[in-house]
Amino acid sequence: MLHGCGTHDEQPEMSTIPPPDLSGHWEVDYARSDSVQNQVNSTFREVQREIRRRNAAAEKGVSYQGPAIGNIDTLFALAKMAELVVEPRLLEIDQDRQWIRIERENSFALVCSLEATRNEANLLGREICWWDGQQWHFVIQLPDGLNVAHRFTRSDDGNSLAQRTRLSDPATGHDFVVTQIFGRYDPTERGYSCTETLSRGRVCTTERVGAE
Amino acid sequence: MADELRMPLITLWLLLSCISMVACGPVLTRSTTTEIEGEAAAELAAPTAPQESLSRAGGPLRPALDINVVVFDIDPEAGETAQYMTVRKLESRLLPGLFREVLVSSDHWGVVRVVPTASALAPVNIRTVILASDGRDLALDVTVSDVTGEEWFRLRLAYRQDDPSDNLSALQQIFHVVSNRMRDVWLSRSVAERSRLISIADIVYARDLAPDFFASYLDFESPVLTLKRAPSSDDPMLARVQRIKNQEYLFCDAMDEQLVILLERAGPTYDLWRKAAVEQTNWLDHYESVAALRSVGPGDGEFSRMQASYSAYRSYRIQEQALLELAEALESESQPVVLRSEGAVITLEGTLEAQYATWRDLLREIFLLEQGALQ
Repeated sequence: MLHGCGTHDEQPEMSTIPPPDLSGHWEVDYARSDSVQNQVNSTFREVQREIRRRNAAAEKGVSYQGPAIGNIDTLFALAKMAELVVEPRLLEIDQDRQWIRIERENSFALVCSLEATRNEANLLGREICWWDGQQWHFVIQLPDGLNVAHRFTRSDDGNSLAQRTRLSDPATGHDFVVTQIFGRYDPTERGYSCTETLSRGRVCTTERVGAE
Repeated sequence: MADELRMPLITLWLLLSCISMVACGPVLTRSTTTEIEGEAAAELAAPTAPQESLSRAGGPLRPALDINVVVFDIDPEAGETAQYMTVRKLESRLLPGLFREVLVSSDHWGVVRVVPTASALAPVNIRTVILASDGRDLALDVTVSDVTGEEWFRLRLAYRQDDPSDNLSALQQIFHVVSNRMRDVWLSRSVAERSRLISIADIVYARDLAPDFFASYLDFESPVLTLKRAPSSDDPMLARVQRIKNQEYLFCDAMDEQLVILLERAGPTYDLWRKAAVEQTNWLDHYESVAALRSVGPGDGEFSRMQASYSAYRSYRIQEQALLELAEALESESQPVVLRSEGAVITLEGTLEAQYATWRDLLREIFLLEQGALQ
């Protein structure tokens, strides 16, 4: 899961291959998803191994060409950030021939057009998105250097959706990657439904969805 | 990267900085308005800070001057993307309502109407272009001219909201300067000149309906329109024109009701968006100043730094998307205007401009039919 020296700035190019339909409601399948805590432990072990390799090389007096470790604090800050970024456990995706809109619970929607690679800056960051023929890419670049990249891939049977999230920061040589698997669900069978409102935040009702 | 991200802001800032430099005026502070006249840098006026207060009168200046506030135009550069253009379109209909409220509350003027396009319905038209708007900063070009073709003045209004607690009424104050300047221009004219302008407006309106009949009253040779002679006050043709004009007022009243509803529905969300933009950009400014002073590298505060950065972005985007959603919904609604005229119910559909054009065509046809029947 670790990608040392990750270069995620590949030239975004919009593919002409039609994307599969991701429309619908999705929820995290925890059994098949990465646990952020496990990823943190794994990262910690990997860093320890890296440090041991460096020390061993130094003792032998040979130069070591392994990946840069960078700032450990930053790496662990990235891991904690991953928990925040992958927090949404429900997705609602609207898609047509031109657009995809991924609504995420308690977060902003990821929106992309198939017409061209979207590369848009607003007051506080930049968003880039594109479809590469296999995956949807959404990259969020923040002014302090934090980079959050999501990739979405649908399984062939259409019942699973993988969201691979990579966090990187110039202060560390390691990226932090979390993969979550989502399964489809039917919101009308949950017994309640929730909507985000401007005035009252998230409002849920037990009334039957779609009832008059 | 921060510089790159904030290009639109920097552009505006450069503009404001230029104004401050030329005029040796104060740097813009909270809720201030800056104005420039004309296009040349030499004509730049001193920034008005703090906000200019609105001159109020005990009643309209005589003779009462009616004013058209034209629905705002949008500079193509102000939208950036189709989605943002939707927000600009919403602003182009929301802000004229605020503008009109200022003119009405000054009590200097006759009837102030928001209209889809400039016309001789009133002697004076106020045209405004939205140059930039990002939630915190708003830049507008305002041109005030009369039906003779004379331009009274042009102002560039720039507003920066630094305090998230400011509401739309704080933003509204940028229009004070326009009302005050208009009062100065109007008072600089003699009563006879003011009355003449109002008469010219009546004839220009009538000429649009019946050019063959009314064009001879106007002198087109001079740089600005002048009146050669005036029809008699009991001219039956003029009376018919007035009746048609009253019908056009009906449309404006119907549109006015829509704008009030729009302000009620979209105003709070627009306000929330502006507040969020101010909070986030203030946070960014603070972050940048702290980052510039930070001599030691990352440490315990790394997570706090990232969390603050991401949370600010997330919060801004949530508010922005809520506004975009509302703006798109309102745009797609495109409400029909239903008018009752002389017993008949007329429903106009399409964009506001299209509805207005249809209504005016209809009135012109009615006028011509009546004229033909009488001849």
